[in-house]
Amino acid sequence: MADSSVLLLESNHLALRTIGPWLSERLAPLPDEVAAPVRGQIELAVHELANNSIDHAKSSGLELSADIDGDELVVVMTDSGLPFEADQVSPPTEPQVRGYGLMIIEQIATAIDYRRQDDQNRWTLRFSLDSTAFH
Amino acid sequence: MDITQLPLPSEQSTASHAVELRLAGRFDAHEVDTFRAILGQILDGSGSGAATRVLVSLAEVEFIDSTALAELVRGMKHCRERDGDLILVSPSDPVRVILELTRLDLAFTIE
Repeated sequence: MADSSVLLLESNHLALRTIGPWLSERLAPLPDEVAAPVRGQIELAVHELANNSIDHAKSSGLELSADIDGDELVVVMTDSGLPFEADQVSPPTEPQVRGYGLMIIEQIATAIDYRRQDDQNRWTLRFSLDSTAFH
Repeated sequence: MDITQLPLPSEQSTASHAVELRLAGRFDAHEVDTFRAILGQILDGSGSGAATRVLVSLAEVEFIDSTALAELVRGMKHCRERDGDLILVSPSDPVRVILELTRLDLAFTIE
């Protein structure tokens, strides 16, 4: 893989607004007709992941990296917040006021991996760079 | 995010209990407190009486996240509990996408 880049974010919602411009830079090597259709939804998924880190893992900060790997973008997020408890999360079955973040991520990313290592959360999201895979 | 509150034409309004909010720009977790305060004033009726029908125009929203979407759900539930509704008007593409991903397009009234 190449084109690695790291974004360090403070644990506040305003800081999440740097994700979009950062992703644009990471996708810049791609032709516009490839990057433009996918950028918005990838930003939404990464934004939701980072938002969960702030709101649920109560992390003090987080680190994002992104690499283009063939026809995929691989985004890794690490934080030292509380562990993710998968059995405590279920997608909403009726309109409610929380619980949509992971549901959104699962539909945009082609693969999600979560590991708890050395008291850190490590999430790896893979995104297709083929716009036909998106909504 | 810009929030503009507009009076509705009388033919669309049932008495004075309908309000339109036009949102523009970025509607995300950072903006939720501001939106909640404005919607709260409308629903609680500070000033000219509580609104039970709120039209939220979303044509100019460039980005929306699940926290903001949840705030719209909260408002919709509040209105429906009072026999009213919170209606989404002309959702932009980013809004339409998140509504479909969460299947909330089936829960909201969308015009």
